[in-house]
Amino acid sequence: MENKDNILTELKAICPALFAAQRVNVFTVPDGYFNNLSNVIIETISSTTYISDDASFNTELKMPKGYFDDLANNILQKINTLQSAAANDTDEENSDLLIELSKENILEVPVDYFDSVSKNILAKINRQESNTVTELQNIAPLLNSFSKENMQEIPVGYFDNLYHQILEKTIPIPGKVVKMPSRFSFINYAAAALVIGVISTTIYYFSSKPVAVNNNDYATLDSSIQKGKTMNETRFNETLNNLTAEDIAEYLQKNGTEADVSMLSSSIDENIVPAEDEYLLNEKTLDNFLKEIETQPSKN
Amino acid sequence: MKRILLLLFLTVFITAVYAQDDIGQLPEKKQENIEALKVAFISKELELTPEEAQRFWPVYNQYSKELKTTFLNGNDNVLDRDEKVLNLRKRYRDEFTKVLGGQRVNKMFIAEGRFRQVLINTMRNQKQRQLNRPLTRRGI
Repeated sequence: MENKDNILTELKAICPALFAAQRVNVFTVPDGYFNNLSNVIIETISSTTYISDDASFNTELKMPKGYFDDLANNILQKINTLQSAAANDTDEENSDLLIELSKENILEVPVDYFDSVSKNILAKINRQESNTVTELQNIAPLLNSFSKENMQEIPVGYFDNLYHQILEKTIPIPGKVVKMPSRFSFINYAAAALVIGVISTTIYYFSSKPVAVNNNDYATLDSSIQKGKTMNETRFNETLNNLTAEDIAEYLQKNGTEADVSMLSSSIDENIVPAEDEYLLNEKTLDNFLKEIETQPSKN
Repeated sequence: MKRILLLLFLTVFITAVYAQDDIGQLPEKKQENIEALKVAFISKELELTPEEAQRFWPVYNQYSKELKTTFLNGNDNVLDRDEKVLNLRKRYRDEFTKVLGGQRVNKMFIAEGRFRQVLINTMRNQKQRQLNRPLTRRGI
């Protein structure tokens, strides 16, 4: 109950008219109304359908034969009659006002109007310019103080040098240049020559050795033969020069024939013994030599 | 630079090792060197092809051994010894002919003689050099 009272006071405050209305349910339906409702609706519909099915109702919507054949003409005719009637009407009703009006085309423009229109507009604007300046002076004195010149102007030939100017400014500042020693110095050549010399010497030493075709055969060779077989001229001379006279004498005594041994053991100074070549050049070398020996003691 | 130095060092080292063959040798080693010189001398004179060398050196090896034995066992009779040596050479001449052909065999024996002459000349030069040395160096 309390709630109801509250609602009512509220309603009174919001809408007094509603509050004044009688609180009675006006929407009442008879008992069993909804039970028969569907049937009632169906009955109503069927009765309506019956009406629409009526033949007389249908014929009303039918049009006379050849209606569309003459439709255009009929419309035109009607329009013409309407127009003539309207013309008569205007003449009668508005004639006074129309007569008063001039029959000239008031929207005409003078000849060459548009040729000079832009100039005229400009001239008018120019005439007003002084006013604009004063107006601007009043509104914004600061803006008026600015120079009226085109500030965005660029000097002549500005774009010709622009590329270079930009390049100059964008070229990075070069870093500290560290000077490297000259690449082609004397030392380089010397080193190269040395390396080449070393390599060629090594190749010379090793390349003079013949290829061992069959190791089984060579394996049985004495070391001296193996060594001599692979000896080149440089090493030959080296080895020969390393020998002492005693070594050679020993060898010849062991491996020489009697002729060699006798030559070695001879008391004759070897320096005055004729060389082998001299025997080949002159057959009488030996005779001459012997004669020389015979005459030597008398000299001394 | 370090690589170059390393290379140089290695080269010097190898060369030094290689040179050890000739420096500070024993007397037997020296005799063997002379034998090697003889072989080198003959090899140079004959100008053997690899195929010829393959067949020649085993024969020469055998010949060299026998020759050495003959010299070692030689008695006091020098003529007998020389005869033995001569016979040995004649015997091996046929063997060498199979490999070298008659003309070059002759060349080989001549080369042996010439090598002996080379040795004698070398010895003579050595003695000459000793004579020309200053007296103090000769220990006189």
